[in-house]
Amino acid sequence: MGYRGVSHRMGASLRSRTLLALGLAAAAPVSFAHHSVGGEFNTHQKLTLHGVVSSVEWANPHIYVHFDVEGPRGAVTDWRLETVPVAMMRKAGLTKAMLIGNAETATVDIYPARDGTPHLGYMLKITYRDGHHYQFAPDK
Amino acid sequence: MNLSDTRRRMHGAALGGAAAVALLWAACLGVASPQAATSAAAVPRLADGHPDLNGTWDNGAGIDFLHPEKLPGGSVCVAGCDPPPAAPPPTARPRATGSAPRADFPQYRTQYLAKVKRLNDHQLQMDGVLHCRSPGLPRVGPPDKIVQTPGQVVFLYDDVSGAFWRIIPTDGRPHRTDVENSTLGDAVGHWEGDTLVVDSTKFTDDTWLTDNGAFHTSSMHVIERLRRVGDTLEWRVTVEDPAVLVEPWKIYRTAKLTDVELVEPTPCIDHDIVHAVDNTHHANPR
Repeated sequence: MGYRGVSHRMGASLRSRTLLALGLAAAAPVSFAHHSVGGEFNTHQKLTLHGVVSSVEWANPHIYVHFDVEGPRGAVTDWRLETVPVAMMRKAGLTKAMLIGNAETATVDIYPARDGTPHLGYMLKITYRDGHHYQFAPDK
Repeated sequence: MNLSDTRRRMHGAALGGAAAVALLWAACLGVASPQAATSAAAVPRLADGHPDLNGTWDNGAGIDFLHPEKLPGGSVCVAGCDPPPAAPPPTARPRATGSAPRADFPQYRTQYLAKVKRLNDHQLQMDGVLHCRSPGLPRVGPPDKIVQTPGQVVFLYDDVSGAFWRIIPTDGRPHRTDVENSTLGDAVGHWEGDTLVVDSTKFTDDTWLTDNGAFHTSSMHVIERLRRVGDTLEWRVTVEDPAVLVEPWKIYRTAKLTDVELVEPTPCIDHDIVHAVDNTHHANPR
């Protein structure tokens, strides 16, 4: 698969772990308003990850969500998921704590990095265990 | 949004009708209307009689296009949502000479068009704001907060590239001669009636006037005119750089007084550009 990696950060806050589940789906090219996602991420390949948000880098020009994904042998991989700038997140009323979501299990749809950097992606959508979700890009 | 999208937006903004142009020119020339007179009278003033520009001013931060939707169950669609039912009309902008607003891009002398294109083609490497550097003036936009005291006005900026400030004396002193050139320049201000006029010089040449390779020289001269109309701040800017521009570049934006206070500056840390595998255009709305 190429996206499984050796855990380099065993998240202490990881309460419940789920098995790594990567779903590859053929995705149509997506046009993002005001962001050249296509220059850095493969918008033709949508992946689905299951795991836990371990931390959030609340920074410009893009917020990064750290997402711990546990592999079948228990190794945890830290995915770095780029998302929107702070001003957009604030306009939507979302906070760092809301993204962390009490460290409950979540599912994210992402586009992986085009340059082959492992465990780097652009987060399209995150859906938490209770079903509520935050969408950051057209869901097509 | 890619470059062609940006240009379509620019051209869309240029489609204002003659009536809009007339109104714009009336506004630019200070043609009074009963409504304007009423608004001017309603503007709060400081003890020195000047309009009170103090406050936090929301200029949209370049993300007016974003219409987040709160969904049932606590879900939120931040982007990629359906467009709102009625989008606001494109903002028309004053034109220096003509009968219709022009596309919002400086007009360069012929010999510099290739340089603009080259800079734009290599935007990911050449545009400082993508690397968390100062956007410079006037790209930084209207001030996000104004602190006005007798003899001095302070502009605060909360930009995606970082936090910036300008301290602008309004006590009649001339430009300083003991400071180095900078991205925001050296500013002095004065009042012309109810309009605060800010004159800035001593720039570096490593920022852009706007996106897409709009370079300038260190000899650029920027004049900002700020006027409060009710709870709206009008920001009119003229950029003079005759060595490279055919004519002064004029822009006009507004900001609304808001009670949403600025928060501590967000750090700008560029993790992105190193992962770009081609020169796909990166828009920088402000």
